Amino acid sequence: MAESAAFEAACTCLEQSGALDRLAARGTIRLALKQAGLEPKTVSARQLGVVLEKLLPAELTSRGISAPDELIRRISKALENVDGGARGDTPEAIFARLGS
Amino acid sequence: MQALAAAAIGLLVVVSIAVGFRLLALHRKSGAAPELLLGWMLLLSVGVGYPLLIAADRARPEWSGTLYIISTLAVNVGFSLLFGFTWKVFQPDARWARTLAGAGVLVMLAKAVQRSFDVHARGVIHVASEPLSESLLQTGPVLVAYLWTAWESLRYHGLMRRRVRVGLADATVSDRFLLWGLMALFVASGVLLNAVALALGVEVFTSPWILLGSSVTGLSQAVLLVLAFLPPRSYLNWVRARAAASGA
Repeated sequence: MAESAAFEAACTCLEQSGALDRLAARGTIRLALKQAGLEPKTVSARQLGVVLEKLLPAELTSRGISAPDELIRRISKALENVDGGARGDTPEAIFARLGS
Repeated sequence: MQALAAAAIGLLVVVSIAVGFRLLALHRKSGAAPELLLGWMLLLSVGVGYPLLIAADRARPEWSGTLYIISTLAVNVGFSLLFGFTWKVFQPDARWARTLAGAGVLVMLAKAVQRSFDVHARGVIHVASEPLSESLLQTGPVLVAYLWTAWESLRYHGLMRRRVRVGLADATVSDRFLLWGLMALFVASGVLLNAVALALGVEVFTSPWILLGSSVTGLSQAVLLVLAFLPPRSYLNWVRARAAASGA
């Protein structure tokens, strides 16, 4: 199974900004997702939005990008064009239902 | 000790039936497969299978064989559904998981049919006197099903804990993965305990140590099932408060 549309959109935007090459851009976003307990294959645009806000700034700063705010805004804008992304019946959704 | 074990198994059976019916009621509303698979799994394997297996060992000879066949079919069909549940929930797109689940179902069903034919041909089979190789063919797949379930659920709990920390998930749902994973570990421990006892020739229905072990695992399973699928509001509030206190 390929990575989610949201993950691909965020990586492409970060790479096209020129701040990081393709490998570094994907690795940076993967690390941020890992910290949030998310997986590139299933992450949705909404989930990635939270990662951008809470975790990606520190990851970008640690890679020498001194003012990551503009970059984060650009990636957020790119994610607006991506639909939900996550599978309908994720383990999280199922277990939420089973105890409701 | 037998009274404690009987109480523990009795409680587990009652809780499994209650949770099983609740999940089937949920399926009527949602139409989704996971609640159907888990609901029938609990009803068949624990609600029907366990009590009839114990009854078969104590019933009059003319009833024992029939009870044994029904219990074996219920237990093995139930555990087959667990393979299906774990595959469908955690690894629906993975070919290896589909293969593992398919193999598990095939072995469980083949073993149920073989045991039924054996009872028909040879009369009553007592679990304790079954040859070790036969016994392992039954307990092996059950152990695999529960260890796989425990691994997937606890792995997912690890992901969920991190999501809770950044505000992306509900602490009570994260906790449910932990409870279900622990439940599966307790079942696996009970199965392993009984398998080792049978291999050593210990009488599982009368040995105090085995009865104590079965009581502990049975009571733990019952408590974990209730907290996971029929949680009291006070427990959910406690989980949320604990998550909030830890900064999530």
